[in-house]
Amino acid sequence: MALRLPSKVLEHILSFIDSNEDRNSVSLVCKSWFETERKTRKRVFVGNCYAVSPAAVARRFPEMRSLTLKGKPHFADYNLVPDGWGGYACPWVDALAAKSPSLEEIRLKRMVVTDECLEKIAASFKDFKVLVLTSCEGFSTDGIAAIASTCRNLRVLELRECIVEDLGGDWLSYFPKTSTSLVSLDFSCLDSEVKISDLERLVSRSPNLKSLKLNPAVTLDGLVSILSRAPQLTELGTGSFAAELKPEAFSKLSKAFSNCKQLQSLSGLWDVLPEYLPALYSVCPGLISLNLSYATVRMPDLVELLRRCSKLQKLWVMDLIEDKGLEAVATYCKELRELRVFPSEPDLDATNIPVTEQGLVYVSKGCRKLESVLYFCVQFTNAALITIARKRPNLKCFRLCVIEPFAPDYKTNEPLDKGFKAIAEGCKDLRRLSVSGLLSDKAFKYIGKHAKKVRMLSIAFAGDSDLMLHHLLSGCESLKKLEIRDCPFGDTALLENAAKLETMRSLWMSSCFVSFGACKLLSQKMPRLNVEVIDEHPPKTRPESSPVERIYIYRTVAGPRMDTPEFVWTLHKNPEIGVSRLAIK
Amino acid sequence: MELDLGLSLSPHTNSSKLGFDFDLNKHCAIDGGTASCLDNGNLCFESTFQFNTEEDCCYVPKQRVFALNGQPNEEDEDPLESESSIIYEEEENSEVVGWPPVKTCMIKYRSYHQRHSHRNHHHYPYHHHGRRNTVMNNRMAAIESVGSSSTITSRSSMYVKVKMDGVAITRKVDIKLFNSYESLTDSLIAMFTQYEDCDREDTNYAFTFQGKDGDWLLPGDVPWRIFAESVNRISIIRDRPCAYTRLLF
Repeated sequence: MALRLPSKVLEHILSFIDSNEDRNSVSLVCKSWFETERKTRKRVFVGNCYAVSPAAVARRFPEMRSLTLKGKPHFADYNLVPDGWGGYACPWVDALAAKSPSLEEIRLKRMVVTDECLEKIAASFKDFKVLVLTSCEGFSTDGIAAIASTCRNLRVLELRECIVEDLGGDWLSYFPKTSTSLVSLDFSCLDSEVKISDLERLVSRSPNLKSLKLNPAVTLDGLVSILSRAPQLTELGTGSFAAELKPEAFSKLSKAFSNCKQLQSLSGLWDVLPEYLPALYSVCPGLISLNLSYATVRMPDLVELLRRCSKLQKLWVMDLIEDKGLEAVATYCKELRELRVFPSEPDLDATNIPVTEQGLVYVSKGCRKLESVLYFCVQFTNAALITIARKRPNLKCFRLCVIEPFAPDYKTNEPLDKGFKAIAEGCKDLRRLSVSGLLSDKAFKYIGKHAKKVRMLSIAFAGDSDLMLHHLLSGCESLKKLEIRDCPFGDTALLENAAKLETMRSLWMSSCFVSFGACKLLSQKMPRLNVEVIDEHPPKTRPESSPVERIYIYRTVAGPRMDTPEFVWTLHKNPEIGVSRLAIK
Repeated sequence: MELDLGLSLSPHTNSSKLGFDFDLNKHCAIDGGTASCLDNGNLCFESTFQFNTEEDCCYVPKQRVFALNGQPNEEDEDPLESESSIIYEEEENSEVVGWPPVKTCMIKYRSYHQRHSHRNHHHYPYHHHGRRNTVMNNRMAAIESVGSSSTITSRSSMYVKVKMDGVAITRKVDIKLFNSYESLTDSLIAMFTQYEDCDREDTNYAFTFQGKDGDWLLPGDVPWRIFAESVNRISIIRDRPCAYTRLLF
């Protein structure tokens, strides 16, 4: 006879389980565990806001204190998702306002948030503490002001890479006039100036402030003044670093930085003049994270800075660092875990190559803890990939963007199949992979065979046929998100692996050869998938065999969504109705 | 509902190509006895797709930025004008949306940087032509060396850019889908007016075509067949500009 744990005991045990994956497993054991788990879950994560209805989530988790939501597909970051596609936060906020008044934290990624929505958040959640908006849009600084003024216990307000209608810097003055509980403030994506006096006062009355990210409009003088009021900062995003160089300005800056003895993370540095970099030297030895992706300084200056950062774990930099600079990183930054190298110009080609594959090879050889890579490069070789895989089998995230589409191994003219095979085979813990360059179906056969833990896979301009997609869908066991653009296949592999799609969060395919007929068929056969056709041309005006521009397929228990714009066709489950366009009322 | 998705992909699939002549019919055929198609019964793919040939000639395909379907031109075309490579417009923005995959905020910064920076901001020379050559050479070299697994199919479509004045986005049409000036111009008008609030009855459209040698011609100046082999660009001017309703992206 099975012993039944009293629910209080079970609750106590579950209070030690934080990870949502574990909690999801717990909830599948039996009904009573499901009930106990759901009543004790405080942090809820919904990876696709259309996979489940807001009401269902609010109902299931009555003790929810923190909600994280993601909206648009990842390729929206690169303008592949037309404006107006969806991802509205409002229905969620409405449902939560009704059912979860104790909600304290909301984190949204790639969603459309309106000022009304922000006002509703401010008005509905009395103890609201954390608002993090990443790559969101649809709101203005008025909405931010509402949050600032009403949420008296606000600890975190971060606008990361959002598109905000900037009505001026006044919003800053809306924070409570008495001391605030702010721990983190990020307004780096706003354009307009804020009054430095407002900022100074805010910082002075926020004793708990640890993280502050300014926007480019804040000048160096402003920065100095802020730093002198907040030497306890651990994370700093500077404003513009391009003021005229005056000797006393430099020494003031230097002094301000040297007073920040706890600084661990540095970003911003827009337009930084190389002459100002030495002002940062004093904080370098303590830095764990350095984001130089807006710092257009040349390699020698970068090396001078980086050779002092012996504790650095995360480095984001532009390809102006060159191979030589990366060699220096490999020598001095032995603690490096994450490297991202961004292109300094959008139009790199073979005549203009700041970094080559050698740079990444240096870092792979020198930094034994390296586990996450994002590397933009004009061209690559199989040999380099093989070396990287051999040296760094502990890689968890490998995203290589060979900027020239279809670029083969430039030394042997072969596809990069062998190289990516080595990566897939060698890096057994790989969870995220982006491939590029010339790749045949074989590469994907290897990936399907070996990349058993890959959860997210991004592919562009690759493959020869449907076999590629088939290999991936039938091989990659842990695949959750697959995004593909400009690859020559679709229908058969998609239909053959339809069941796989229900085990994944989503599949994105744009500029491929998926026909409207296949989409329709898939949708009819798989009722728990939403098959969205995103296409400027209504599918009805074309033969069913013609390819559609984009498809976005995701599993859902909420059925077809009701907020699709005109250019999105959610195929209706009932074949008689055919294609239904459910427009916004 | 039992989904029996045991369709076996024919090994012949491996031998394709840049061209997309993937034939659904072939892949529904019985291969070693496993004929189970999606519907768990008799339906094969082709019967679920209604191939409506009357609609074919009305369809003007959306511009394919990367022509992956048998585009490479066999005749020695000037690679600068090749339709099958990445086209970067000198006067317009790059037509390859979202490539390289850099977030908008970084691109926005770049223009901010160019506007506000008073220093020499290390501009690298911008070689359009070099770019196109490289892509073509890469792809061709890749094809030659990769060999048997990819063959260039005979050209079955020919995409040509169409620019209507007042419309920011250049379209592409496949000339091979048409057999006369009239069918081409009618379709083009239909395509453009679909997305603008235009009354096509009211507006006069003037078509001009640019041939390989760079001359601009009017419809009818050359016989259709010659035109279809040599046209590079199409330009449409309308005498009454319409309100431009919506730019989708």
